[in-house]
Amino acid sequence: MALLLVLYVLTFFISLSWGQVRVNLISPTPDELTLLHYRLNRFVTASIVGVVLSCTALALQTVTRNYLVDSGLLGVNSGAVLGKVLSMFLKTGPSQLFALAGSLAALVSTFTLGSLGGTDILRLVVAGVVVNSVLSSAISLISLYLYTSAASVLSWTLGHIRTVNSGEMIIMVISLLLCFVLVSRSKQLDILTLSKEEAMSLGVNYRREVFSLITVSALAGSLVSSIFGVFSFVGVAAPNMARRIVSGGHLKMFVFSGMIGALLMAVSDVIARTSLSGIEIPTGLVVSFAGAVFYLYFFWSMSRDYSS
Amino acid sequence: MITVPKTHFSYNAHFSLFLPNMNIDTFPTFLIGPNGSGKTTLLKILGGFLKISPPVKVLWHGTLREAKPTYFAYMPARPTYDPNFTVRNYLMLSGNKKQLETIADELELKKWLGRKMGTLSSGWLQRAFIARILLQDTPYVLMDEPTSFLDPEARKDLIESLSRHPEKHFVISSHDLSFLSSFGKFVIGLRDGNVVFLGSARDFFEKGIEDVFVTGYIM
Repeated sequence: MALLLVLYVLTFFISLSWGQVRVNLISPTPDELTLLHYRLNRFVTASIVGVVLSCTALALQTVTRNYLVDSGLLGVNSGAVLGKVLSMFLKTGPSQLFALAGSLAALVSTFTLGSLGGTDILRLVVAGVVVNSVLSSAISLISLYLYTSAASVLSWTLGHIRTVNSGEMIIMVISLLLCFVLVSRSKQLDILTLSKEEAMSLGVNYRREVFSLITVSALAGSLVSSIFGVFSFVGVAAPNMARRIVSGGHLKMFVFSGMIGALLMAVSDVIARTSLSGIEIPTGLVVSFAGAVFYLYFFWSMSRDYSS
Repeated sequence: MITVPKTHFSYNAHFSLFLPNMNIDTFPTFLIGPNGSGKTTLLKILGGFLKISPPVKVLWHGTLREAKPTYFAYMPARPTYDPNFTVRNYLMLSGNKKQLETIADELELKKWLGRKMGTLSSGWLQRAFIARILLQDTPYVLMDEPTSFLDPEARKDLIESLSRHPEKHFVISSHDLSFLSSFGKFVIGLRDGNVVFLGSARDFFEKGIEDVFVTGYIM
């Protein structure tokens, strides 16, 4: 815990001082102050995105009993991309609104498809896979006709951290609040690790609880992906790394997953900003790559006590 | 006491369960029958997990009330758990801090309390499941095939731990006749969705057994 905090604070200072221009944090000039403001904005943004992605993934992983899912499970990510691509295709905006509408439409269609002939989670997950697949082909189809901006479609599917305006900041705060809703249901999530009947006998209204948790997680995820695009891997990696470090109930796991997620995103964003001079790599690309390598190292180095 | 009305329950087109009027007031009660006879379905009906009408009623704090899942502790045939929980985390899910140490001691789980569930062997996992069920603050305990994955020694341990709790009203679905003979008092015999025997465990072994299992069943 302490180590995570130290790393996070360290990342904070590095992200403020390091960039194309080094900034002296002790006595900045007015120009540097503007730069600091910009970097602080990005640092906060990256951290919030990390927290939201890992907390929503943690909740969904528990509810679906699958450690490999994240907030994209129900099609919200491909919905957001499709919305964005559509807004480019039609040359109208604002693209964030299109993306949000797209991801909400994806969510609604997943729920509609998933409720056909029953209301179990597996149905919902399968419906999510179907919606994801259909939307991906729609995205490919439309981007084939968008030769000139194929690169920007690609960069969107990779996820891009950037400074946000106040309107976007409000949306991010909302998604953060949705995460707090998830955290406030930690006790129920703990009980949902048991079988359905056991959870019911401990007083959890199984169906209502599961569906509201899924909805809240997917909504929070869709808000983030409609502004920044798709970040793969953070959501899967952060809770699993947290599971390696600590054991325990969801309250604790939310704290650790959130911190690891924020750290992963903040570090990746610094790398994305600074590694190549003159251009910026999409943060989503860095986070998938760095995260995967780190995760692999993490997994192998600690596999001994888990392999039994 | 649990009372079941005369009714029938259809799960889907392929399976129906026909129930006569039943009063279950001798515990441990065993639901005995071959696979697919409706034992688990009946267990879920008794606990109010599956609704029938008129409803199952349960004696709860002196009055007969409609059965609700919260009146029961339920142990499924294959309990699920988070492998990252410690045994203590897992037991705390039942919300009973006071008796945790006592029950853990009783099942010799005390030295495992800090271990992760994912690192336990199946025998110790089974003990953790039993401990959580016993910790839940209710007299009624429903268990679905608790002996199916146990070796003879573990089964003996299970019977001993359950016997230490005469205050609990166990309803156990099983096709394990030696488990029944050493622990059961009352038997509901099921076959193809029909109740074909209702009576004491002794009577079951004398005259009910061939109605439930095929003739010539060897114990």
